[in-house]
Amino acid sequence: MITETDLRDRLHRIAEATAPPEDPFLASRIAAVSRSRRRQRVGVTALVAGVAALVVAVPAVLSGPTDVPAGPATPVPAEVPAGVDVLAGPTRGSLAGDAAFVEALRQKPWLGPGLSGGGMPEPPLETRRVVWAGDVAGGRWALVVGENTARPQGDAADPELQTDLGALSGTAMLWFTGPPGADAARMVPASVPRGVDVTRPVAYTSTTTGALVVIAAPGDTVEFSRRPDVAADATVSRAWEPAETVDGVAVVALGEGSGFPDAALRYRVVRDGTEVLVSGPDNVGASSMLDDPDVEWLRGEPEATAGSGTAPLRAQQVLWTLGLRPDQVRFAVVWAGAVPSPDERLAEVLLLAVTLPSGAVYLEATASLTSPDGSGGAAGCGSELRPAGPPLLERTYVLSCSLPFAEGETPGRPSLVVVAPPSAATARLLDADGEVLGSYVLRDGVVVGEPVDGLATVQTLTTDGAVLAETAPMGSVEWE
Amino acid sequence: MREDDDGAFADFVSREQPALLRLAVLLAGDRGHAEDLLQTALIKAYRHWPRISAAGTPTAYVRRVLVTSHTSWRRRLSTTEQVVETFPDRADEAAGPGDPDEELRAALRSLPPRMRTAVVLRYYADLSLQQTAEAMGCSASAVDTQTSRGLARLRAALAAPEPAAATAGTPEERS
Repeated sequence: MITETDLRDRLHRIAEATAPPEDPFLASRIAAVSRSRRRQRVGVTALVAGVAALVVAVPAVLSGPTDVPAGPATPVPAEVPAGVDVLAGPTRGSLAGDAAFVEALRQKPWLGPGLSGGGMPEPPLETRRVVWAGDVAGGRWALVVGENTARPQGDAADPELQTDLGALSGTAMLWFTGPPGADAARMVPASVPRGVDVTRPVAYTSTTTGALVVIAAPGDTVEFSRRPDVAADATVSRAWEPAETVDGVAVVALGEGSGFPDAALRYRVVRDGTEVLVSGPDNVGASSMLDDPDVEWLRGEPEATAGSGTAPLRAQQVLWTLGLRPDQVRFAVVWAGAVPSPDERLAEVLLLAVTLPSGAVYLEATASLTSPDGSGGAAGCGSELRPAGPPLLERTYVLSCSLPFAEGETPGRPSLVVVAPPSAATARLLDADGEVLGSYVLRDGVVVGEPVDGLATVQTLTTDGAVLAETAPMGSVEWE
Repeated sequence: MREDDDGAFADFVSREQPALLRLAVLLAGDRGHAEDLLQTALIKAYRHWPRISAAGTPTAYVRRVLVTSHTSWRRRLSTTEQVVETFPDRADEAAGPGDPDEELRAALRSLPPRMRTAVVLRYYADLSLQQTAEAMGCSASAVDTQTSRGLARLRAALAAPEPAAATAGTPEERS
């Protein structure tokens, strides 16, 4: 049986043996492609954490692309309904009766100077049809489908290997958008043509105008939720609002948007009383990043380092993930400082606290490594939601981080960081049975040490031995 | 982007390309997809290079995009933004039937994408459970489950007399 050590060794050998050769011109090629695309004013991006909402930049509204990681991925927890083609049938929507408009739209090319290559489908005209066309807040949208002429070949056609099952579909789709009252000539492709699973409802939103269109099967009903709500007791829920659904299509005016990525919006489709899909819509309209939110440094702002510089970016990502405005939350860095490094690089941890509208606090820790030449990287090493309560400086926080991340060759260097009120003098490490595993002396309520095996909680004590708090290391919050 | 930013981006690509390609090939399972994944991530990084580099997070950014692009069911959309034809031809398949690790490689490729990602991040990249969860956008317990199942599947595939899970090459050696 293969051991874990053997697996590590063999994975390294495989990676070495099978990695593609370096391309010495890769950077210049990417720069050239990016400049070319910027000139053409067409950008296409996927919001992170990997998987969240999609931002598709439209020439008419774009001043620049905006693909920045924006926190946890959009969940797709519901089962995909089987056997119902949600894109089938005659054209739906408020413009369905305008035969000339629909026909002209059907004939519009999918690819052009601004969008070409890359294995994108361009269905033969005879296979194209307009699924939906209608007026929305701030414009006129339409969804056109046709034969997927870019189905993957070889290994990529293996469903077990293909990560986008929609790519294997025989149907491809493309959204068109235009200004209010636009004729077909002024409608332009607004998304990237792609294969689509026809049994899965599709949705599109504009973060600028606040329009949302969800296309499901006739008879389905649609609801939407603007953001997760975190109550004062730190419980998380979503308020679902019904959307008027006609022939399985919901056209919603969410209100004017900020124009910035919105990873918080969700829609759900209900069929015969059963939830069949919860997802985030593709979206369009983001034009730039927000200004850096104000961040308070509770223990004084340290000398500027790469680690401390992550605070504004993390703060922005929290706003996108939660669908909140900067004026609705308060950001504070509870602690930032150096931790033991696995090598010559500077290892740092930053703990950001976000006080939410309810008073609950979202905590997010980021660990970073910086080389002497200034290059480096960062990754999250814990997050937590806490009920409203004591001021941040009177709370205790325990982080267990390990550096580096995703480098493979270097053994990880774990760190334990305890941040407590200054009155705390000692941190006692306990296992799950309450047995003492060790202790640390705190300086100004803080210690950076090494975790011990079996650590379950950390007890902080005053100089006279009174227990101030017992705190578990931060875990990981999964936003739905 | 300013010229000095272009230079810093080129330095970054030159320095990090080998390690990122190695991670990408394990995630993607083949050279072509590995190149696609890395190119996607770098194009995104280039667009925001001044901001990302100022924050000191380019490696983490690119790595995270690698993972999310790979595990996302929308991967095809994110990769289609590349002008693929401007890049070099894909390399030939490297690990042939005679490679002693080909059996493991084939078994790894047979894992579902998220399971493969969890195994690679935990056992190749040496990420902790929490770090892997952050990278994959899921809970630590989900990572733990995926990793355990992935390891069990690999062990089963490597122990099987006729490893049906193999999707590439012909295994010649078993553990």
